[in-house]
Amino acid sequence: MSRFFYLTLGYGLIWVSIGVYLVLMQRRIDRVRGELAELRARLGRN
Amino acid sequence: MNAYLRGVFGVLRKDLRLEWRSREAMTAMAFFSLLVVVLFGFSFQTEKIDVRTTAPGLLWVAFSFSGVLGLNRSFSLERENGALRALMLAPLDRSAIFVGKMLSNLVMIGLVEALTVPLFSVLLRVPVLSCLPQLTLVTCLGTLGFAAVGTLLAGISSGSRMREVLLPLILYPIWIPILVASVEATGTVLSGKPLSEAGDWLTLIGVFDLVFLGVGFLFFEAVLEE
Amino acid sequence: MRASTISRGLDLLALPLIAIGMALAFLYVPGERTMGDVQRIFYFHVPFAMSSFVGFAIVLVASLGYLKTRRDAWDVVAEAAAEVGFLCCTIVLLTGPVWARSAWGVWWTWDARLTTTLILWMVYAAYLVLRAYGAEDAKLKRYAAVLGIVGALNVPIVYFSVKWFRTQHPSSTFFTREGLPVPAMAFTLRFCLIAVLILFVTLLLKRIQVGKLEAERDQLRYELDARE
Repeated sequence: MSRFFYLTLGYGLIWVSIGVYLVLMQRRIDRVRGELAELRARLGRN
Repeated sequence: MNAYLRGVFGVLRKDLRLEWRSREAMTAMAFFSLLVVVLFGFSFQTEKIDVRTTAPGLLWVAFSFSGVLGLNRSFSLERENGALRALMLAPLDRSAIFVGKMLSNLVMIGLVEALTVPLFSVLLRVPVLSCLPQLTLVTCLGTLGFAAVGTLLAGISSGSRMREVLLPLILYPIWIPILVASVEATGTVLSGKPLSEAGDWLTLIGVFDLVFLGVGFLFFEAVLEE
Repeated sequence: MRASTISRGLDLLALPLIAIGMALAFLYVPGERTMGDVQRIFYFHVPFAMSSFVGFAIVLVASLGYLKTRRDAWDVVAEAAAEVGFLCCTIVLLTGPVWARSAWGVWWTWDARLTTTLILWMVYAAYLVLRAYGAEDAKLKRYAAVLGIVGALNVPIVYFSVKWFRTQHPSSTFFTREGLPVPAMAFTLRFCLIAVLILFVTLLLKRIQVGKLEAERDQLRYELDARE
């Protein structure tokens, strides 16, 4: 049983780290998109 | 070529003269080295430090810590009052500035090491006299690599927002391989074995030295341009 | 447009390939005799290790490219490759100890190959620290490129110097010249290698996209500052 524990732990760590990275990247994209929209609006107005 | 060498020695002489007038960096480095050795002495509280396993590591950690102090100083001086800009205006090849500064760092770190070794030997009771020539060779090779990659990276850290704090963070990961090899070679030497037994390690240090000297020579220019 | 189509296509390709790879590693391949089922972690551990090396190769090439041409695109690529490579290296350092704990009974030993990977990870970390703590924009790009070159050149020497030391890492038994003991294992490993490399490229392209957006934002900010 314990060997499956380690196997699950190993694969769990892999996909959790990739998942976390993807979430962080998505948040970063959203923030930059927001900033870009704001900057474009301000540049257009001026 | 002759002009190039003159440039190198010009930079070297300038750095050493500057240091000779104040002796600030050397004093700080030597005192810091002593502190590190004493800290080891207190924190390990051993009657006798094991020559083969512990002593070489302690020695090189002391070298690495005090070395960073000197490297930082060498560039913070240049960044003050725009001295670096003046140096860059001089009709010198940028790589000559690198070699000159690398040599001045090598000399200063080497002198501090020469002070550290006897203190280390006495305070931690590690006999070094019997293997002094071999130890000197190993130390010189390792320190050459440290000075080469350290001078390049100190140029980078001194121009960054974090300044002095950044240097150890970017230097130590890259320095670790030479550190490991130097520690192993020093251990071999300190335990009284012939130098040839450390041959592989010395070759490894040599390869790293050459690579880091080459990279510094080629890319220091990219660090300096403003 | 074409780059984004390729990126979209790889997105669609990566997931099923990874799923099939997982299925192969768990269901198709027989368990290894001495190491048991835990050995199934290798089918992803090894490809991620390869990917982190690929990441460093890209950092090296992109850094050289930046210093030579001074095009910001190279800088964006170098930063993206360092970040995704760092992720892969982190995964290697997470899965390795899990396996070691079950096979050797310890999470970590100062074995040559483990140490090498740790050094690799720290060099990546140093590069990312420099980028995070920063300097003025143009300076930072040059600095990062130089550090990327120094760090990447460090890697092969560290890696090959390992051959001089005795290592208890299984690669010497696992990847001997005779190859893997069972053809099914070799096939699965190769399949997973391709799947993970495609995942790596997918993540890299996504990260490059982010970098481009951020570069565009900085450019707009600069224009706005200039105007005001």
